[in-house]
Amino acid sequence: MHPGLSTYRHLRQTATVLVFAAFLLIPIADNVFHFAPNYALNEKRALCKPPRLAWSAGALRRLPRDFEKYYNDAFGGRNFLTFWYNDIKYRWLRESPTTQVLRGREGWLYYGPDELVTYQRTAPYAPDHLRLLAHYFKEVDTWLQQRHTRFVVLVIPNKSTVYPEHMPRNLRRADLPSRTDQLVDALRREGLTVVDMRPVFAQARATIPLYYRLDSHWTPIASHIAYRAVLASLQTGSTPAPGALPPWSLSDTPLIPGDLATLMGLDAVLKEPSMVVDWQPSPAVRCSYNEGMAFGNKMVLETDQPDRPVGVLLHDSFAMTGARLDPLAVHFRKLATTWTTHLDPDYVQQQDPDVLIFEFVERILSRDDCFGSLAGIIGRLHHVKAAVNGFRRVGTNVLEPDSVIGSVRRATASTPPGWLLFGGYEDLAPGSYEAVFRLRARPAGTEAIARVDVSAEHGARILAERTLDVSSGLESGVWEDVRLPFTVPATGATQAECRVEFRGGGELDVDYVTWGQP
Amino acid sequence: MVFSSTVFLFLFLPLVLLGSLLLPRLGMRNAWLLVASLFFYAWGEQAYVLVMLASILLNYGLGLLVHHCRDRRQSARWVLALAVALNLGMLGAFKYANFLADNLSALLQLCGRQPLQLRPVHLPIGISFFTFQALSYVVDLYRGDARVQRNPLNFGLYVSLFPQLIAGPIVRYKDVDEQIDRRTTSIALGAAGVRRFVIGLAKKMILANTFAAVADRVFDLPPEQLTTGLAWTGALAYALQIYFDFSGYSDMAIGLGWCFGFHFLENFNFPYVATSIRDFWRRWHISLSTWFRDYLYVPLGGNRGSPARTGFNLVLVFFLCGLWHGASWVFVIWGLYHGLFLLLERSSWGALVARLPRPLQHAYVVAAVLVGWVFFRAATLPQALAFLAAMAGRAHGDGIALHAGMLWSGEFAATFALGLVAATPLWPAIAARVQRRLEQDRRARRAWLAELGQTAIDLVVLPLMFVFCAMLLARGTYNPFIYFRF
Repeated sequence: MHPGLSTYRHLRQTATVLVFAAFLLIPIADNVFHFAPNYALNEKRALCKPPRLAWSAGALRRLPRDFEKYYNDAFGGRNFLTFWYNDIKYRWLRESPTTQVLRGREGWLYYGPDELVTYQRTAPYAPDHLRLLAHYFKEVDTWLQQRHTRFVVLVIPNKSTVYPEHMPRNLRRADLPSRTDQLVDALRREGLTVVDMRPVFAQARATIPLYYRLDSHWTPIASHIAYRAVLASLQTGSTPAPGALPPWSLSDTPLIPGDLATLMGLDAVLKEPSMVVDWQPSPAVRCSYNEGMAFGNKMVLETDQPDRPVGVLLHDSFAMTGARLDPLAVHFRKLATTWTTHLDPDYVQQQDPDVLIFEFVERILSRDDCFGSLAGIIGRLHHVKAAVNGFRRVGTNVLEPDSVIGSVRRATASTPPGWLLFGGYEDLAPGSYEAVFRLRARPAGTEAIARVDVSAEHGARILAERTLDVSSGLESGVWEDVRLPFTVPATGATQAECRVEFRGGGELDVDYVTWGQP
Repeated sequence: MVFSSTVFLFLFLPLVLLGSLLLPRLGMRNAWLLVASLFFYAWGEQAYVLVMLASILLNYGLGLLVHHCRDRRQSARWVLALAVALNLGMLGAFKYANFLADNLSALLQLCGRQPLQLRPVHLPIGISFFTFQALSYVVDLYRGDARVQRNPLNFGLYVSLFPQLIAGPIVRYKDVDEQIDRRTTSIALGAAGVRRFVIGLAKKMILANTFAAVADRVFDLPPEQLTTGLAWTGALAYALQIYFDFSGYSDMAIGLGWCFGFHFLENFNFPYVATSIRDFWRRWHISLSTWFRDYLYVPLGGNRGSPARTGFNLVLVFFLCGLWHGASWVFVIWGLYHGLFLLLERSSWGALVARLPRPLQHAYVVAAVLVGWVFFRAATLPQALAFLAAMAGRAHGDGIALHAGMLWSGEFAATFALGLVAATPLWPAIAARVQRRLEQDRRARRAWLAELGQTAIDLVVLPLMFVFCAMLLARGTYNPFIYFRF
């Protein structure tokens, strides 16, 4: 062998070992010195914290698993490595790095799992399911009509419905009606006002960009079109084509990443022009209440037009920002919005609207529970209906560290008597059960502070009840489990619920109510 | 703890390597490796490390006893029988108790009796491997093929050595006996170990996991949704997944062994290029097939008896081989299926296969093995049969929600192509040929070229592979936020 060759070979082997050792040690070194570029990742969970050390058998048993979870989230360079993997997979392998996003053609991205079910039409509603949904919407409509409230259902098409030509070529579609087709037809048969934006957008798409390339949502001009359609339907009862729209343009400042690019962890490198609509709200719209952008949060937009109606908008992420709602809000004195597709009759009653608009994008229909517990909401409608006969929901939700579920329903000395908590609405089979009410009472005198019961058929049939007062043995200010055994007879129990009726006479917190067979 | 985890790669391994490097004496290094191995096992199995410790103590004691009785054949035979009974009893109690109880219950119910009530028994990971290793030690002592180990720590190290503890290869004591007492490490061996480990890691992370994603998707489908294309894609993906997963793990074990100065025997030798099923078993999980050959097939008489006796031996060995892989009837069927092919190949069928052109021989092996993998992977026998029917063209799926074209993405197709090449000895053959030519060529320039090529592989390709594996590890922990999940 050439004399220099063996030295070189030794050097090469040494370098191989050293490079490997360095790669093994880099994550630990980065944990200490933090030198790796930090890319922000948009994760749907809080990263795991270091496990607590405790000398119990259970804690020691959990320690390896908890530590691995923590270290998976914490090892040095994790975000950097994840970003580069996503980038390589997207750019080089030309695939989406996550199943949440479909990489379409010509740079178009689509929201994956839910939109795919709708697009491929693989799971139409079963007849019973469709009947239940139609019944639910009809119940809501009837309830609102009794309150002289107009009800409009606004259906926003999926991006893949409007722009199917950019979907991946290898996807097939069943020759079946989509869930949206089925639901829209069923609701219209029930006489509901349904504004189906699919035909409107199909017409408008030739001249107007209705959806962003890198986002699953519509553009601002598309929301203008939709709100006009809603307002027109309130006047005519049908969905008209959009009229003259405000001017719009696409601007490179700012370039926006889009939620789908963000979902792939590539928001730093994938961006597209944003749409600017040249339109100013008139009359001016002000936001008088805003809980921020998160699921379940509420917002109130108001104008100085006292003669205009009050509206409630239940919406999903398509109508989540104030600016996007302005075109709709200018037509109302007050527009109260909630980011939810679960109707809350108490909230509607509180707002007492002239119009209730229920907006959702068709992809949510891929989930069977997208409108919440239908039976539960129908039950609540009946309760709220009963309000004119003296039914009253009282108390407030309060964050409480001692609560098992994080917050409690609270009645204070100033709270009037009424129903503090109710619900469940389950059909129970015959048998013996026990309900457990976790309560904390501070009785002020000898009067009853509360009555707890288990009832069926929207309160028409009481299965068990108990009145709580100072003689009940409740220790003041201490959390207690109040147990209420009950029997469901052979005929069963429909729409069973547990209720806590606050009677005054002190303060009462309810943490949770649960039931089961002992 | 698995090798392809962040805790192993970025905490456990560097610490153990560092400790091993810094400790000056072999005895200290052995003690360090033993502690590390017990910690490695206890990390995943916690209290069940006691099962392994019991196995170590039991077989250490039995080994001493066999050695003590070496001049009294009958006594030694009794000790051996005790060792076999205790080891297999322990394996049976932890691995097959539920299986036996379930089958006995089914029988009792058929007879109108009450089923047995047995709480699920936890299966300590790697018990099949360390039990076979420990048992082979006692048997080898009895046969006079191995030296007795008087140091319990060294024997503990042999049984528990973490690189091969949970997925093999099954190491025989006589193969590492001297290495435990006297072994040397060098930069050259360390570099080779690193190379082998990274290749194994890449096989697992880049190839096997990609194939696993596709195979899982297909095998998780209800049979009525299968199409012929999907079934073939799933079966091929699984065949490649299991090979790269298992051989990748063996590569990592062998590579780590080299880093610590141990030499484990090879466990795979490109099984998919076998020309017969007999040849396949000489190339697949070699440490297991040779274990069964040496400790079961040969003692039963091997092929020295009548054809009927040989057939019985083969079927029994493969029945147990199937059962060794898991306590389920699908594994038994898989084992018997292979045993049947070995029986067939001892008949005129074997001669017929031997006369086929080589490509047809390979095709025969791949087809037979592929069908076997369907039994191995399916959760139940009906699922396996429906899957095979779909592969044969009797599929009922409409292929709308999922069809084969959706699975053959750019990444999968590229990985599949890479997998096909890596499953054949093409690359080693090219490398060996180049090496041979360079060795014959005395010109220094050529030698330098070869050295530079190796440098590029060691210092560019391997680090890139490792970084990509780290990316995949990081990616596995990433969970994007879906804020529009209503």
